[in-house]
Amino acid sequence: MRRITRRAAARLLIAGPVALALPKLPPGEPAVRKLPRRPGLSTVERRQLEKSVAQLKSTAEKVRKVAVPMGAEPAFVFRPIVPKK
Amino acid sequence: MTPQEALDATVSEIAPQIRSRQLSPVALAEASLERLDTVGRSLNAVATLTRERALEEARAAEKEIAGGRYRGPLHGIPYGAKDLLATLGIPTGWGAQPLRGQTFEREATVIRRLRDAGAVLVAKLAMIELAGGLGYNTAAASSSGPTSDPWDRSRWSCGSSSGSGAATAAALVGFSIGSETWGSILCPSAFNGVSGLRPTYGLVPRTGAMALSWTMDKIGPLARSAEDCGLVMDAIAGPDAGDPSSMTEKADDAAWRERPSRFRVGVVRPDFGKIYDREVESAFEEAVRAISGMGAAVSDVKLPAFPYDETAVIVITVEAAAAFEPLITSGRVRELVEPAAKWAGDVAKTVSGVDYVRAMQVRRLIQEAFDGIFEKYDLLVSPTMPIVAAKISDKLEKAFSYSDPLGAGGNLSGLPALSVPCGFSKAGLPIAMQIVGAPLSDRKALALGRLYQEHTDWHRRRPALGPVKTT
Repeated sequence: MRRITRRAAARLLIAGPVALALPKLPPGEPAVRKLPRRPGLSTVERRQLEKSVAQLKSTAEKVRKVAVPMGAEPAFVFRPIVPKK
Repeated sequence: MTPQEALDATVSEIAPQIRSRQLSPVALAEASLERLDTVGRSLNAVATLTRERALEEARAAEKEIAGGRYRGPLHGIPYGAKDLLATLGIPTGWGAQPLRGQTFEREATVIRRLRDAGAVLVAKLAMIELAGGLGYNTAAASSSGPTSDPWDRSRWSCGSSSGSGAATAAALVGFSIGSETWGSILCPSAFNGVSGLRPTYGLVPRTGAMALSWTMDKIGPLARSAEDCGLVMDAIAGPDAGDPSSMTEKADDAAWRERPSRFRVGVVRPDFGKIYDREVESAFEEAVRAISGMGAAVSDVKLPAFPYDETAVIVITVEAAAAFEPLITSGRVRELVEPAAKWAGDVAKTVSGVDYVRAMQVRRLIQEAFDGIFEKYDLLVSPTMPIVAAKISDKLEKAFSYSDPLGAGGNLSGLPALSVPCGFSKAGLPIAMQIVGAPLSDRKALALGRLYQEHTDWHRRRPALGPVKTT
C-alpha cells in the first residue's frame, strides 16, 4: 500500500488555504457504527463478519488520514475532471 | 474466408467480407452459436444463448446488405453482452442465483445501439454475481460457475466480465461488451489475451445496465484488436437521456489522426514487490522498448502518494450496499454463492456518511493529481496485471493481494484505459499492458494500442481449443 508520507501530508497542509488532518471525526460521528445483532449467523460467520468490519474500519481510517483542504469539493459531480488543453 | 475462419479474425477483417457478400451473416451467426454451445459452455462462459434473436438479426442483416443497405463495420457481426445489460425477452440475471430468470421491459441503450449498427446478439455472457458488488473470494462466485481461461482451463478468466473475456479470446464471438467498476474489463482482457477498453466515465451510457457503483461504473468493449475496440466505441458512445451521468462531450476524435509516435508516454513501474511476476515484468519492459522504438517520448512517472485502493473500497462498498439494498433487506442475498455476501450489507453500514464524503473529497484530490500528470504526458503505460491468470482454485484475496494504485486511481478519476496483450509466460499464459489517458482521450489510447499492434503480433495469437464441432 502506498501510504501518504509525512512530508507529502505536510506539503498538502501547506498547500491548502486551511487544511485539516482530521485525526478524529467530528463530534457525534462514530468512526464505525455499532454492528446490528444479526441472528442466524454461526460463531465462525460472526467472527468473519467482525473481521470484515475491522478491515473496513482500518480502510476508512487510512482515507481519513489524508489531509484534505477545508471546503474541498467532493467528487459528487459524477464526472471526471477534463484537463484544460 | 469460411465462417469458422472469420470467427478467428478481427472485426475490421471480417467487415469487408460481409459488405461484399462473400461472407453470410447467417452462416457467421450459426458458427458462433455452435461454438458458444460447445466451447462456450465448456468454459462456463455463457449465461444464455440468444439463438432465436441472433438468427432473426442475422437474417435481417443479410437481407439489408443484399438490398444495398450496409450499416457499417458491425453489420452482421456476432457479439455477446455481459449478463447485466437488459435485453428484451431474454433473461438478465446479473450472474446471481437469486435473480436467475429476471427480465426487463426496456432494452439497455448499448444493446439498442448495437442493434441499430446491425450487430447480432448471440449470447448473454457469464459474469461474477452482481459484478462482485457484495464482494467475492472465489472464481466460482457466479450462477454460471467459474469461467475458465481458454489458454488453460485450470485458470480463471478473471472477473467480473468473465464470460466476455473468455468468449472473445476463444473466438466464440466477434467482440463482446463488459463493464468495469474497478478492474472488470482490464483484468479479463489481460488474463485472456484480448484487447479491452475501459472508456472515460460517462462516455458510454449505462441505461438499462445493472448499477453497482453509480459514480464508478463504466461499460466498454472487449475485442481482438485495439482497432476493433474503436469500431465498437463508435457505435455505443454518446449521451443518453436515460443516464444522467452520460457526457455530452465527445472523445477526442482528432487523436486518430495524430501520429501516436509523437506521444509523450509516462511509464508507471508499479511496486508490486514479491507478487510481481518476473515474466510479466520482462514482457512489459519489452513493450516499453517497442513503444520507445516507435518514436514516442518515453519517461518514468511516479504516482503521488494517496490511499488509492482504500478510497475506491469505501466508495464502492457504500454505493454497492445502497444499490443492492432490496436484495439485502429481503434476505435473498443468502442465495448468492459467496458466503460473505450475506453480511456485506451490515459491514457497509458501519461506514459513516462522513467517511463516504471524505473518500469523495480524497477522490477529488486524486483526480486533480492525475490532471497534473496529464499536463506532462499524453498517456501512461503499466502492466495491466502483475500476475498471469490465477488458478480457478485460488483464494482471490491471496492471489490478488497487491495494491493497484493505477487501477484504483484510474477508476476513481474516470480515466480511459486500454489493455493490449504484450507477451506470454513460458506456460503460455497471456501478459498485458494497460494504456491510460486523461478523460476523453480514449482515442489516443486506442491510437497507441493500434500502432503497437501494427508492430507486434501478440493480439493475433489464439488459444488451442481442440476440435470444435461445426455445422
